[in-house]
Amino acid sequence: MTKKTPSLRTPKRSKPNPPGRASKPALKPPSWWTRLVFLFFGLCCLLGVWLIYLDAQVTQAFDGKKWALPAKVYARPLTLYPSLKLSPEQLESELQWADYRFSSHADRVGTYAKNGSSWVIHRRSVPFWDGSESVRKIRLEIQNDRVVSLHDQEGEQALIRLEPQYIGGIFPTHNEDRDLIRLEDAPPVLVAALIITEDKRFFEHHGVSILGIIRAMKANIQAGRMVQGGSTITQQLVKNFFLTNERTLSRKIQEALMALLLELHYDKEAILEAYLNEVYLGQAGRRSIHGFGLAARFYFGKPLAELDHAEIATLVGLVKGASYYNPRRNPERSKARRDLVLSLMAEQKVITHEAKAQAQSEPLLTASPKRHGQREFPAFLELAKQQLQRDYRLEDLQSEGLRIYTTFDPWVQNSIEKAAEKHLNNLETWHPGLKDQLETAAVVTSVGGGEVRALLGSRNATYFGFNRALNARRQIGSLAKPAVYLSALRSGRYHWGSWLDDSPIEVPLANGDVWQPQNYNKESLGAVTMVDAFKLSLNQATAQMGMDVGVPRIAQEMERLGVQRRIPAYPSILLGSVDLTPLEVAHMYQSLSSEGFVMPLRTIDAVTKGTGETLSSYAIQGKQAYRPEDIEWLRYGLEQVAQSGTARSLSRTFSQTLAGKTGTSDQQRDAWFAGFDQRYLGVVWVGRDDNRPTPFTGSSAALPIWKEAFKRIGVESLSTPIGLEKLPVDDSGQVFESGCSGTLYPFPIDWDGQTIQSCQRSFSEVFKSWFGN
Amino acid sequence: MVRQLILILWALALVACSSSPVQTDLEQSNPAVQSLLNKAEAAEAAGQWQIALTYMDQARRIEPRNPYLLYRQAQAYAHSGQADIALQLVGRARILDQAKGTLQKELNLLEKQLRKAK
Repeated sequence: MTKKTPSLRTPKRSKPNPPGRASKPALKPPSWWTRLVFLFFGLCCLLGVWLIYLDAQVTQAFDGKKWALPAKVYARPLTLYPSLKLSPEQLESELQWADYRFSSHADRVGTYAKNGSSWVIHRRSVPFWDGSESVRKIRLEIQNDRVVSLHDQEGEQALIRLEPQYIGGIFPTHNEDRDLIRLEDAPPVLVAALIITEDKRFFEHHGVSILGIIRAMKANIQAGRMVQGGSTITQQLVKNFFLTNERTLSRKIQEALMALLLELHYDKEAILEAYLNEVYLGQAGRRSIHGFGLAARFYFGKPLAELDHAEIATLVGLVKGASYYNPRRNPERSKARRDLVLSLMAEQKVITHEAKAQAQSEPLLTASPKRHGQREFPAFLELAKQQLQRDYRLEDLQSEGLRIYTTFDPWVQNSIEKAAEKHLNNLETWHPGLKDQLETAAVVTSVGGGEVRALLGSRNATYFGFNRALNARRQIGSLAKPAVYLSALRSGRYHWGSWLDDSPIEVPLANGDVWQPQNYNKESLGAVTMVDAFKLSLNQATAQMGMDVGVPRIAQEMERLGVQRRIPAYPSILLGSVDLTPLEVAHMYQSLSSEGFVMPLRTIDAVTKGTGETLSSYAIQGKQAYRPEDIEWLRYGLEQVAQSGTARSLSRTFSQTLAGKTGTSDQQRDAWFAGFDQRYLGVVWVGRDDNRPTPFTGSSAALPIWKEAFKRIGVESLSTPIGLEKLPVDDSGQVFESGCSGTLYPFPIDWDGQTIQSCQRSFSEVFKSWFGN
Repeated sequence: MVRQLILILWALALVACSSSPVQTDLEQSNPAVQSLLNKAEAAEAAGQWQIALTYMDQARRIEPRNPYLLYRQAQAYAHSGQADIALQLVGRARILDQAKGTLQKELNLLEKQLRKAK
């Protein structure tokens, strides 16, 4: 049974008037005319408020900084000077990477010519870290891979810098990129072509063209679909600059109003300049290409001023649809559009009919999007960004249009990339089961200043992902041994001719386990000299000696060499059970390559504003952490590794004196090589991301990459060590005065280890050395 | 402030007292090094120590084992009040100068002054 409820619709009784208040006569409702007037005024007020709001939006955005400009990062400029070691192959590569083209006479800027050993480079004007330099026509001679003469239009020069290669940007989250241009820098033909193609009455209307809208509507009705837009250049700018791509009537009205307001406040030139910089013209991976300045570089590999008519028409054609008319992906469509723009240009007398015919006959040629001049180097960029953030806020790096001049050397980077790619492919061919399993990382620095010259964070060098060079902490294996041997040498109790015991060793650990290291080949060599133990990387002999020297002391040695993390004093660190990144290893070996001068590894040379004003510049810093002769003493061992030890293949490839150390971690999970010549230090790692064992060692996987890269980079022999003398050592390890018989080993001149014997020994001493005590 | 002033005065005095072996060393340098040092000196004259240091650094890349360049960098660091870094570079220059020993007098003077200022 349903329960009845009172009707909710029962009309409420009107309240009686309060006592004492006279009832007013009912108000007559306003007439429709009055209502209309009120409505009109109301709407006017609303419109007024909206206009004020839009006006504020327009002026605020247009008066202030219009765009968040990403920092642009550049490689070091190739500095030419007589006596510079430079192969023709390197020069030509670096010119092409900076978007210079070969031409028979180099009569246009951005071109180069070569005739035998003579080169002519028509260098563009370049904004360097210390100011801009104007166009220069450089003449140089290269003989036997050295620059022998250098001239420009003003005569002989001591030094000339080439244009540095762009190596990437530090982008805001929307990844917009652009090269700002001023209207006066834009080729007049481009501006004219743009106007006649996009908005013929640009200089006549006030932001909105009624005629244009009517014409577009007519064309669209006739076609039965949207074939023509009625937007002026000002409206297009408003749409791109302030609004979204939404297609609604209200947005269209807003666009028109803002276009009118924009024209009210700013002259046509300012609007045109903003348009030239704002318009979207393509996509390059994560980067969106905005503005004609960057588009010229992106599509044609040259600055706007160097474009010909056909190229200008191609870019103007892109405005209608950057993807649809993309000259690389849709060349036929793009060419048809280009030719249409060229015809319009001729019709409007922007160019002659002959020039039009000439341009239309040209094939659609674009520069490769994968060319060096447009590619980025994510591993190096990540490190540079980290280091920049010590002095700059990320938002400033992403928006202030800074120019970052780095220590990056594109030739060194290219050499290491090529070598890694080639050798990993070889390894996978020999071991097909490892296809796509191997990864690599590499760091190359300058020995003299700790400048990072190249960084490989992944086998795929253009990959913006996990950067192994900075973030993969892996066991360093025998790369730790130099710290052990350095400690032993510095203790005064050992020298390179000392005898070590390469026999099995058992070290009881605090947790009750026993550490029992073995040699790589599971064999024991018995008594070996210290230098043999080092160059053959014998684990047992090293462990015996390291335990004698003291594990805590060796842990401290690693820290002193520049490792900036606490090294636990476990016996296994003697054989490299220490997890370090390739960059950290490079830091440690940097100290070994520079006579114990511990330097921060540095990527930044200078930072300037977009206008060219230098904000900061950097120079060498460091700390002399060792007596140089101690490090030179150790270097002897590292040279023996390269000469006749685990890295002896170096001596078969190079005639120069080099130093290095191979490293292989437990179960061959990591293969390492760290080596240096007089100029560069290189550290290479090869392994698997899942940390599973590989069939490789440092010698078979990492060393060949180093070797191949340095063949291209070129090596310079290590200088003769200073502060060392060669002294004879007899078979018992006793050191004798210079001139006595024995095997010669280096010693610091002021070595205060064991007593140095004279050649004449007493009978009892000889007896003791033969038969012991 | 006083410390920096003393440093600057001493560094200027050292430049003024540069002995002939140093000049000879410099004359034997690559002209590119001299060109960069000229730029560095112009920057120093304008009080732009950091820019001067960067020019010297570029010269050092051409001749990484030229002790004079490290000595000049040590001077520039001293001028800019960074005595600790200057001292380290004096040590480094001394090592590179071991073979010739032409700079020891200047290095000793600069080191003495830097230590005094500290």
